[in-house]
Amino acid sequence: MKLINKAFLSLALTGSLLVSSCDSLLQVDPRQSIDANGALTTPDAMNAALNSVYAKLRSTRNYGRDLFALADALADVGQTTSNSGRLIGENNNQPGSHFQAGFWQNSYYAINEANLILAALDKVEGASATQIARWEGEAKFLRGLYYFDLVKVYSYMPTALYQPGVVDQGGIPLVIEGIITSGPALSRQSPRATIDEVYVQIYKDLEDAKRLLATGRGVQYGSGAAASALLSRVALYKGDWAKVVTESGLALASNVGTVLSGSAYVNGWRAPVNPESMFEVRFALAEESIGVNESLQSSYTALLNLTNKNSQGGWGDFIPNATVRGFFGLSALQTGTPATDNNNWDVKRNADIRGELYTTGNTVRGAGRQIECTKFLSKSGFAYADNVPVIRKSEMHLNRAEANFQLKNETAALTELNAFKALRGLPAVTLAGNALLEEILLERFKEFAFEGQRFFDLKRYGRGIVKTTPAVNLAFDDFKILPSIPQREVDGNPNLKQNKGY
Amino acid sequence: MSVETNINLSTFQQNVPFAVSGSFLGSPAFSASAILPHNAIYNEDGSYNTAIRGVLGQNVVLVNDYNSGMQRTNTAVGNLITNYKIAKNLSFRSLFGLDYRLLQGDNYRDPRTPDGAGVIGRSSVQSDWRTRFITTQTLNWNKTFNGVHSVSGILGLEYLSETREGISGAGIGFPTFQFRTIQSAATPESITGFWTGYRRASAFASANYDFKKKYLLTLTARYDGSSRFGTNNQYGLFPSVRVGWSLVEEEFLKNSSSVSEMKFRASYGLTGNDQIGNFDARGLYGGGGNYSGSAGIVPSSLANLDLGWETNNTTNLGLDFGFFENRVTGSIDAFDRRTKRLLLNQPILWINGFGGISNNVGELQNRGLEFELSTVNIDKGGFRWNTSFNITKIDNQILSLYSGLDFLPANPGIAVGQPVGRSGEGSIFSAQYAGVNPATGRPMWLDINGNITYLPLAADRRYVGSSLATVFGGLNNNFSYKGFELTTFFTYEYGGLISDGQYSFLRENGTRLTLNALREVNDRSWKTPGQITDIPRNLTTNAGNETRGSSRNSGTAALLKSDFIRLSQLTVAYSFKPSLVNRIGLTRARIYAQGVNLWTYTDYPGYDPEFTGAGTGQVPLTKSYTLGVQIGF
Repeated sequence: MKLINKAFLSLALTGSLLVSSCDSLLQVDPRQSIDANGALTTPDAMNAALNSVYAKLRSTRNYGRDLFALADALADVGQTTSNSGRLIGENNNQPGSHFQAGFWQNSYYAINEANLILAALDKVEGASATQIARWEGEAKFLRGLYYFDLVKVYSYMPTALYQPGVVDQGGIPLVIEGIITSGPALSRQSPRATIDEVYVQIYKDLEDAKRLLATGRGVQYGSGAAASALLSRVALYKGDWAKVVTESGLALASNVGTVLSGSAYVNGWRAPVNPESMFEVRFALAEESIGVNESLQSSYTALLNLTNKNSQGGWGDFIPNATVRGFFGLSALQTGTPATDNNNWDVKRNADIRGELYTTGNTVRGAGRQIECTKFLSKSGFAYADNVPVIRKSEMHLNRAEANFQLKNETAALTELNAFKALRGLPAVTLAGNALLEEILLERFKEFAFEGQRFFDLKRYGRGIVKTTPAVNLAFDDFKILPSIPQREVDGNPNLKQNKGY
Repeated sequence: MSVETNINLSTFQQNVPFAVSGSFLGSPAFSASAILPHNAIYNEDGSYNTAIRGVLGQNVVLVNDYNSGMQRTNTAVGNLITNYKIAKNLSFRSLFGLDYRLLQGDNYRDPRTPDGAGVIGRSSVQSDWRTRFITTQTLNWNKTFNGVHSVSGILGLEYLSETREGISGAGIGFPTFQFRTIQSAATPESITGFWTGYRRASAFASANYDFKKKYLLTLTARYDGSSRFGTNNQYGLFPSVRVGWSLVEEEFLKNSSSVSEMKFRASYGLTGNDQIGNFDARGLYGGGGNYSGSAGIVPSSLANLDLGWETNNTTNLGLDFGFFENRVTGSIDAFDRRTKRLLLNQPILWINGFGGISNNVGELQNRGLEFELSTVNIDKGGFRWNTSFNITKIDNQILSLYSGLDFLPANPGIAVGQPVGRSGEGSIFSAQYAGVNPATGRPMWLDINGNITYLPLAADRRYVGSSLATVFGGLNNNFSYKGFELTTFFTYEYGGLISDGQYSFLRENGTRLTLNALREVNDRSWKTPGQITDIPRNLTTNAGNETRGSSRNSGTAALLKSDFIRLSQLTVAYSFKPSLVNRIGLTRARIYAQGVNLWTYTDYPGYDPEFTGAGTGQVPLTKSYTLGVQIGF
């Protein structure tokens, strides 16, 4: 018995050392994370949480590339080079080559984060009313922007809803309550809201942002003026023409952004922050660079910079087609010898100042020397990163001209169009009726080539896409105008209807 | 009482100039097969050719020459073991073990290489510390009663704590390529780190009983707690029972001249599995999402307080046998393993802000038969030939999922009645490829009704198998004669289906990009009406695929059978007579030549049917030859 006692004593001794407290025995707390419960209760945490919602705009699937380069590849802006093989399927409008699952995922993650910030507004200790107004305003600005980007991609536009043979499946799921616990995360199966409901929500968010963000804190953040500018475009897509006129006027009257002309306009594209920007996505650090494969710069040009055209840069996968080259009278021009030196090449241009934003690329990667768009050229100070102008002030003139035309104010529309043309070095035109509308849309095409607007401009007028290279057109009633909703979302949500054809 | 300590120190370093997997253009495993072969590696003057045409514009030899990289692992393992004999039948054993590991790596992208040119060189360093502390305290007791009843027991406690932390950073902009360490960088590019930890505490007991070594019984139980699980479910109890009957000890076999071993085994037991992320049960906000130069935080995971142990309930029936003085030995086993409360990522709809959550989602069954046979074929005049062979057949399927679901929402590959794949991914759920339209050369698929379609939809997907091999095993032959020895070891697998990124890439046949192609694919591609083949027509209209159809690698078109028979090892050796080597102070001396992975019989057209991972730019299993001398003092 004595022996047994001794044995249990030794076991019990070591045991009690280990099991000094049963509760803390298995307690390991992460050091690089905090508990989600009560995470958003300090002003610093709210600022940090808001930063992440902005940061998600940088994703390649959002403004990092796809909302500009991929959207333009779907439209009639350019042609592909096969230099890296990217954007070919999109430019051919192949089934499945469209906005990707990651765009949906990243946008909804950002929306959830914005929803969580909005839910936490009244739980922050020691926050001033000004701070709370700013968090609410910016979170709503961002939520409005994400919803607008989602609905313009996944749904038809209110101005061009139904066409023969096309079954409209409505808007997109509208979630405005943040989720941070597993119960609702596993059970919420939201259906698609109607397109109208989505636009109503976007209006509501942006109106609140406008009201709450009287003073902005830089064009990399949401501001009241940026909310007006965005509302102007949302109303344009909605066909709410009077609203376009009002909001464009408010945006133009604000002190956010400057409409530039002549060489100042070109230099604006060479500056880290384009003075035209009313809201732009900031790439501030080298590690935020999208890199050589999928950045906007790399997608559009093989150049690293304009100083030495022989430096190896990106891929130059997507370049202007004959239509866009025609706008600016672009053709390759040898400016010196030898011809093998890429610095001895430039392009011939017409009077349109925007032609300065195009030049010849290089042959360093063994590709042909192509005419390329140089709106994005590592202007943030490190390779393959540019701040992305989501809304430039110039757009307000074109939005208002188009809205005025639709409101039968043709004189106002023509005056604004001609004033705008003068800014770009073009002579005035005298047009009326449909020809005037076409000219306004053409001006929009020229101004925003390689900025991701053209596909949606065609879509909101219910127009097919006339392709030059390859010359395979995409009719408006083709199912490939809309992308597929990510299959996992449809597989996992019986209430969610897939777009037609997928 | 005895105390023993041991300390093991080791360092292992490997030079890795470039990535060993992934589709990096400078990676030889990815690019070498795809660069057009007319591109020379060297110019006539012996310098590197840097004008390599096409998308793969990197000279892979130059890239691997100019870049440099290193991976080093320093390990210190120490154990302190105390044995204390309390009484004749009772002893106490205490073990404390500490395992330190430091993993360090650095990489340099030379500014003379394409990847380094844009940033004028990039140096990156990584350090990763791992600490593992374990202690086991056990009491062992045994006693034989009346010379026939042998009883033994173990009672123990165990505690395990693991932590990992690391930092890594990168800098860009180097004065010249000779400067390759991070302090010479002009601009810091990134700096990051991590910390993670895990604890497990267990108590266990085991009892053994045998009667004359004829009837055997073992009972065990473990009570385990893991910090990884939700606070409601951190502990689990895992008992097991094993019985054995050694028939050869029975009177009717004891004197048999032919049967030398015969034992029947049966067991049923539970084991626990906690192989998930350290903080998978926690709802967290982590750092991330910095914007405009200031820091961000982001919701990174959802809390799951009910997350608990996965249990494997295994039933095993087995028979060990031996005949003719064990010249023929072997075993047969049948097993049925039910994995209950299966730990998997349960998908969450992205609209709810998260991708998934670790959860106990259902029940998985693995049923199988194992057969092993070893024979001494010849043992005469110093010549001996041994053969051993084994074969395993496994059937694997999901039996049920939570809430009575038929498949995991957002991951239909995990479905009731279907197998799971190699590393827990689902079965393949895909549209069936139907070959090429002989009239036009267009690729075709079957829709869900079995009709031909050029554009399969989500609704046309069906279950076609999994990446898991259902039959596998090995065959070993060993010949020896007077110190000479020859060993051949074959392995084989059958029944897996996999897609190979590298092969799919080459299967495009250069239609999307200017790349090398496979002759067998090119020869098989559709060229004339009426031709029956499986490779579609080649289109070069700025797109590799039909502009209005699905890609040629869609659905099951590019799936490959991963069946193979492989000569895994071949060894020829000669051992010198001990009497001979004793004279020069050695106890033994052996010279050998060994080849690993010398020959493979397979239809698999990619690099290697046994590869792991996505298969793009993977370095396949290497063939290796070793000549060696083993000496003992």
